[in-house]
Amino acid sequence: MSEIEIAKAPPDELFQLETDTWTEPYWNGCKDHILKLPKCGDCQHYVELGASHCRHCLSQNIEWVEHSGKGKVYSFTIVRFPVIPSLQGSVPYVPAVIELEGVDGLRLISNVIDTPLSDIDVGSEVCVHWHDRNDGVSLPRFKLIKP
Amino acid sequence: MKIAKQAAVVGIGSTPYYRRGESHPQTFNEMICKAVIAATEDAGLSIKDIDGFSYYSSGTDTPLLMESLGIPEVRYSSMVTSGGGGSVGAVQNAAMAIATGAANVVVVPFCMQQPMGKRYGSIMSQIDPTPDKAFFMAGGLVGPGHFFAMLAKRHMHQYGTRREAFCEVAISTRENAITRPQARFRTPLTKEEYFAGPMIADPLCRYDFCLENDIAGALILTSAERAKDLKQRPAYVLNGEQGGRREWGRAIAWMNMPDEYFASAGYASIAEHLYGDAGITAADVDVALLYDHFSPMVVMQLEDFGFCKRGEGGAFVEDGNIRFKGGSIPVNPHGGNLSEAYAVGITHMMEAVEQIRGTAINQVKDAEIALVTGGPASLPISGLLLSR
Repeated sequence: MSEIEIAKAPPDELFQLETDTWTEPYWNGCKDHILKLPKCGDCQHYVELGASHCRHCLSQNIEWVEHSGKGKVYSFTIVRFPVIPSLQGSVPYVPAVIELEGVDGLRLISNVIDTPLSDIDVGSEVCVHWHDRNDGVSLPRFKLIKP
Repeated sequence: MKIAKQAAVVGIGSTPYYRRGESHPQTFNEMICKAVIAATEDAGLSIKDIDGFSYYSSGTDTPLLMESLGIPEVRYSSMVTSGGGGSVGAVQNAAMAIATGAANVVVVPFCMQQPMGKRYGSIMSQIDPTPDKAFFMAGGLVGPGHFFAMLAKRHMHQYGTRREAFCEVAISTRENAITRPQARFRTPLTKEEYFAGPMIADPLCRYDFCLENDIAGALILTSAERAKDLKQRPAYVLNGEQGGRREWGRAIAWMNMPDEYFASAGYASIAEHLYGDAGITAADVDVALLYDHFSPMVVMQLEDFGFCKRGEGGAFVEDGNIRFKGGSIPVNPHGGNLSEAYAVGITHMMEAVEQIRGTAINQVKDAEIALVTGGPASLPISGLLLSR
């Protein structure tokens, strides 16, 4: 293929945000373009997004710590076929599992965007890029850090 | 689970295998009733003998079935939580109910019927938004294939697995379907066709995806003692296991599995218990009915269940080991979810019973032990051993 294909992004209409006590701080951080991750204030382990307790010590003292937004692609896929009509204009896009720098046991499921598809691989270094939707929701997406 | 050979599958039955959405105007419960009636006839039992129901993946309403079928009393009704991962756990539950005397004749019914105009393949776009799902919905993960593609990609990265392995799963499964009258796809699939197939979610192309069908199926279980006097050769429940490790957890809906779990089907602990309690190893399994919603997950289950070493599943498959003809462990001789039909596990269970009876269309010679698995998915996942 001679033409360079660039990773697009899924359409905004695809999902509506619902939050609860244990996920709201994360999404509030996103609004401010700050990646905030849940960490146990007692034993200092990262906590899974949405968990009400730290599974290591059962503490509910969950603190939201700021992260640089730098990480690596742990795995990814290139979605090429629009399984529903609303995806028609959005393919190809790249769902990816992002392993964040210094964070153990908590990965983000996001998208790698605005990047030639052939440049994306497992292990690629990425940095957060914020996408502001019209409804006030902001999403962390990732772009490749060029060496 | 220590109830070896105390219960047996004595009857199986199903509706025809329809293309997705084409079973209407039959209703969901009507389809189930037809499968249950067929299974009791196959067993040589009366429908009124049924006093237990064991479900998975949302099941259905017990009293509705009792109304239509005239079942006088129910003494056991349970369901395995989550989806297709727990499918064969419903057979384990039925066997436990019988072994403990909670019920005498338990049916495991399942129906998959697509609503008009909706597809299972885009199921995540149809579900109501919840706080936990926001984390994957935001990434545009709309169909199950999008999730499993990332497990496959990681397996390729970690172990050097090639698309040729996924291709071999698709081709060998298709070859098995050709001789099956009810199979949806009965024309041979070539390597050229596979690689020319459109990429859906890299590395998964069209032929790595299972079908979508409308099917109801049912298994009838009773005690080993009673099974002896019935119409069919009993397929004894040698062992069953449902659950899994926290490290696997919500699996694809969560993606936090540690390295050794991420590029797997999550079944290592299930295999350990399943074989261990039964006192067997992978070498004792004669035929494997592995849930094949996506071809790479067959490769990973082969590793989890010890048919080859971790990371060697690709080469194992490429060497022809899962072929019905000449393979060291024939996998899905009925054509699986990839080529025969997809109904969340029930077709694999019915094939396992036929293999043990010795009446399968693609019969593995002298098959004494069959392994059946539920889907690699959120916990609980499940495994089952049936034996002569």
